Amino acid sequence: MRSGATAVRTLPAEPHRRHRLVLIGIAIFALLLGGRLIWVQGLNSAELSEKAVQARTVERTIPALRGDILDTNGNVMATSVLRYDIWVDQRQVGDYRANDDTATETGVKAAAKQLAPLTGMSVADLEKKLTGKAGFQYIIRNVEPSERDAIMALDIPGIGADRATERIYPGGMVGANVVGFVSSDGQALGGTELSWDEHLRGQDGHTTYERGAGGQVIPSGSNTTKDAVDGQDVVLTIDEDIQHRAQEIITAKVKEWNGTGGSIVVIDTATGDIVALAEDPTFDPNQPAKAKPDLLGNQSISNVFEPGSTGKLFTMAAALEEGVTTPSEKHTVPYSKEFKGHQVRDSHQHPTQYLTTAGVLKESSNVGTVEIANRMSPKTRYEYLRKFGLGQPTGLPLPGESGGILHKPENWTGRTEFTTSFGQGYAVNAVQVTSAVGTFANDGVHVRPRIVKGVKDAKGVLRPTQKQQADRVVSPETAATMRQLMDNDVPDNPDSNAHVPGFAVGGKTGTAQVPDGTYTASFIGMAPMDDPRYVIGVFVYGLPAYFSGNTVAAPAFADIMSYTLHARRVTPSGKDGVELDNTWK
Amino acid sequence: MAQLAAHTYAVRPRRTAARPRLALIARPRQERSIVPFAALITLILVATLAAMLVLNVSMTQTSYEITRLQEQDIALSQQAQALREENEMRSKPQELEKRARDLGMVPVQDVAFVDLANGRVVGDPKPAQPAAPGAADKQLIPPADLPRAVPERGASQPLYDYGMGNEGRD
Repeated sequence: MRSGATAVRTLPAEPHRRHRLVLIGIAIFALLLGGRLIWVQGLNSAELSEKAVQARTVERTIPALRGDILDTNGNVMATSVLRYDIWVDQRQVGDYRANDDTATETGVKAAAKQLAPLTGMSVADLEKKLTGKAGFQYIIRNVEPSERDAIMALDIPGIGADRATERIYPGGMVGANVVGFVSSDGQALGGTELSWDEHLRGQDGHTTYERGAGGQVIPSGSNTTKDAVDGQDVVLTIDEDIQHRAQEIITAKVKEWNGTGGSIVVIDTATGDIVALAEDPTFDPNQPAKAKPDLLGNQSISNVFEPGSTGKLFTMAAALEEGVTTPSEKHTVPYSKEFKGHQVRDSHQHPTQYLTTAGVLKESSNVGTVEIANRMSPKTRYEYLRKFGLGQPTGLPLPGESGGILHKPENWTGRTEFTTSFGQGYAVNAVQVTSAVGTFANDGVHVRPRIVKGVKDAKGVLRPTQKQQADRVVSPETAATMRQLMDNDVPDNPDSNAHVPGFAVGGKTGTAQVPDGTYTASFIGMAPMDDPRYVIGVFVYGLPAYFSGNTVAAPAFADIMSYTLHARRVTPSGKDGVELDNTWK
Repeated sequence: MAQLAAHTYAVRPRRTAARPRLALIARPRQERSIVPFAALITLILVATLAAMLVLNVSMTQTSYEITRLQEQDIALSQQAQALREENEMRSKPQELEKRARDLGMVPVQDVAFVDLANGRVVGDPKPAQPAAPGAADKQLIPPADLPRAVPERGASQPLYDYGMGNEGRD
């Protein structure tokens, strides 16, 4: 029923239509959402969840821990330790203390001031390192964990720390030539580190896990781990204390006599174990970059030299074994004599001497030695030298060993035929010749020297290296006679430079002239003579003038032999040394 | 008599209302409410969800606990390493020599032996003499050239290092 009012107001569009429009809108929206849901969950789910998994999956290498290098008593000579490399994202440092109202300084300046005492770097250096646009820049590397904790506690934005491993050598220079060194990124570069790298480095592992926002491992996520196999520890035959003392002694000697270098070799005669292999100059493996490159090796095995008079020991041993002489045989020895047109002279002018064979060795007469040597063919003498281990590498598992120089007897032309009998005309390294003399302490059997006692397995049990090769060179009787001759060489009284109080000592001095005009002074000896335990060789190279082995090397020998016997608790037997007749008229 | 009998018959009461139709039926069933069943189902559902929740929470808690223990492990390992390093450094021959010299000790000059069987002294021991200046008082082999630890300041607690590698401010 219409009312009387004539003004017919147009009714606004009916709400139904609006409602319908809104409903349609909602429906479309819902449809879109629904479609998206189906798309995400149903159709594209695999790809998306794959992406999500990738985003939270982390892959890490588990680095294997490098094995230690230990001395014979288990003291650590090389080990790997946890360190941190501190880096900075320079773009963020400016925010340091920006919101702190109490801060007098902010940003780079404040950060540098805070970091200086913790890192030991100057404020200026640090400011330079912290300024810039780089997203990653090292500030200081290889800091100890406690330092890193202190640095991170400052909460400087942009500062972070990466874990790193550093190889440290707590003993420093002691035994450096044997232990070797690694590069800054852990690659073995020399010494035992290099030769035994296969055992030391182990095998890296691998882990894959899903990581939560705070870095935790998501327990229900996929998680695969392949454990790292840590490297094995290598145990040397070196005794750190004796090595240290030997290094002190040789360093002092080289300095005292202005040599260019020197070596001391200490060998346990029963096992062939090298107890000390010291040399000067050497390096600190903690700082290989600071050392001269040619000092980074092991001169005691890489340098060869003519042994000089110590070579007479091998000639005498051969002569005794071949039966061409006896210790008491009488000789008439002039200062100079001609052999096949070549003049052989003794080291010092003297009137004709009437010496026994023992005396020839004690006086170190070149003439007398050649006379005795000529009773054997060069071939025989050559074979004995080879049997003593000369002219070939000792087989030590260290890089850079030189086998020495020993020409075949056919090539012993001219003077060489005679000089080889008194230690010139062939070249040896320090370990070779000391080990060769050790034959006499070992009843005539030459045991090859060894420097690695063994490798520790995963349980820490030592697995020894193979038994050393042993060759009979002379009979036990000849060896005993040689010991007597050597004992006779060194009078057991304090006047003798090689004297060790309380013990009978035997040995031989050597002074060799080097083609470049310098001299090598040496002394090789053993003690106690009634049952020698250690053979020690002392060598000083590059002497500017003729300084005899007796003057230069013998006192050092007495020093290190005394120390070794005491350190190894060898007690004096109370037996006197042997004295033979040296003259007969 | 016959008349009486002929006129005797049951007097049927006159019905005014409709007669209800009655039939014999069983006792009426009590109607079972659906509520307990629904409640049971709901309970099972809730219990299951709760159990899952508890498990998940527990797993996550354990994961955090693992992380915390790993941190502790790392902190203790670092401590142990630092102590081990210090011990090794201090027992090196050079360090011992330095400390001995600082105490005024000199290297041994005469060594003597005591035969424990009969108390006999082998050797000729004399009191040690102070080293002649310049000769034996110099240490020839220096200690290892390693950076020494800078004294620590700041945190007494190690910061988070989940042990899986690198960390920074992100």
